[in-house]
Amino acid sequence: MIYDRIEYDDLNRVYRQYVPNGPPARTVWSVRIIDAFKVQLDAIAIV
Amino acid sequence: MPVTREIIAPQNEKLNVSRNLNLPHSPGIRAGEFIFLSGMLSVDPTTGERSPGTVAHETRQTLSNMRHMLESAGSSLERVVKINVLLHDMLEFDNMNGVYRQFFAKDPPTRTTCGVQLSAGMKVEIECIALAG
Repeated sequence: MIYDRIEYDDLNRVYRQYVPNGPPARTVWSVRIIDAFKVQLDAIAIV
Repeated sequence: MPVTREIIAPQNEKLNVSRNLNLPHSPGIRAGEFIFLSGMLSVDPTTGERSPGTVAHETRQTLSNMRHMLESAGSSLERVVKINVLLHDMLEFDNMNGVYRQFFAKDPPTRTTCGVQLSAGMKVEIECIALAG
């Protein structure tokens, strides 16, 4: 989740460093986040 | 036994938006008996270009592409268990539903619809979780 779509490329620039190969499925929601934070992530992983 | 993690992609490569636009996500992941699809926008399957239009048009094109994506992975719309619909304006809820129910005429999946800001003036984005195979 991101506070404003205009920062989509900024999000991706950092994000791809963490998932360089075979990245997870993802949807970026542009929404209002609590306490004026700009990014919120949740994830489902296999054990 | 460990759960497998396998990247899935549409048979029609024009619909592999994340690869074609070099975005850091996969079209979908199969994790064990479940398939998780990334959010999908209305894309023309013959050109690979975004296909903006009315909410009805974008809903129809997106669900049609979602059907293709799921069938490419051996699943189907009938095996979807959860859908998230992201809509540019909740005032268009009925316009989305009018087309949506044509794709899920019987025993539709669970669903949440939210009004959010979307990319490039698009009006509808849809993601889902489905049963594999």
